[in-house]
Amino acid sequence: MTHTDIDPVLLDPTRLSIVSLLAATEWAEFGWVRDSVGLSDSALSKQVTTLSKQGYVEAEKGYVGKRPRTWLSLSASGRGALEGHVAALQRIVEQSRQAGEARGTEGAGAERNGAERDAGGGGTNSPPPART
Amino acid sequence: MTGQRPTPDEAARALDQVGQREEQAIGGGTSDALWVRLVIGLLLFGDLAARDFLGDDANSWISIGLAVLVIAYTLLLRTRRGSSALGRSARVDRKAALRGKAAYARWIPLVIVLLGLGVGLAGARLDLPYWHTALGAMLGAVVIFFAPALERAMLSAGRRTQHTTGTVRP
Repeated sequence: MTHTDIDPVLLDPTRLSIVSLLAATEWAEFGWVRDSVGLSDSALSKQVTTLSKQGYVEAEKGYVGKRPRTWLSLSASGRGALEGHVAALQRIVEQSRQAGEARGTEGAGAERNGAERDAGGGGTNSPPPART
Repeated sequence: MTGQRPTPDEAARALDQVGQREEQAIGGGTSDALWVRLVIGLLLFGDLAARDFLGDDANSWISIGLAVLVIAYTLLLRTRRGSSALGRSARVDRKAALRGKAAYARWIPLVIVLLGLGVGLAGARLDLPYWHTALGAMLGAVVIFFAPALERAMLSAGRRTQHTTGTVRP
């Protein structure tokens, strides 16, 4: 199984939340991201610093009137990392689903074979089918 | 997580989380401040009501003024500072909002414009008294009270996010 696109930075649920939120926006105010994700100023600031160091998130500071504001946006590399991460997660889920279906098919086949043997004169003394 | 590789269950949860956060961004980043909606709604009402009560000269000036305000509003929305001043904390990425949308959702704005043109033409043809004023009151009320809900509905209509799994969990 390949999981080369799994991004270790985005394995953290909080960072994944921040990046996913920003992925649907062109930019968002720091306060809005903080409230949406449910973090404190310092906790979000720490996560943003980590994401900025990776080049995933860009922060721009400015003023609206006299009030200072910080706007966050997802960089192109951040967007690419999220897309790769999501694709890898989808592969994991899909492979697991296919494996589950294959096991279900095998189990049903084994039960059907056992029933056919019983009905075909195996008698009550015949051993039960071996289960793997 | 097991090392660097999530289990299928963790992966499914993470995918759900990504989808939910995208929906949250689209739903939460779309409303103007109440004062902005009040101003727009009242201007819309004033512009339409003026057609019933004022002469053609005044109407043309009012329409020009309104057009200038609409352009200024649109330009402000395109900048971070302008959007913040108008009470918008985030700008939804229209491409992200449209990605995976059902085809019918893309036609909703056109349908709304055509409905507006239809109502306008019908009103002009029937020549009902004060119909501009009535239409202005209705549109103004819609803008003031329902603009955020309408915008959210348009952005979310038929949206099927690519990031949700849609598969049976293992």
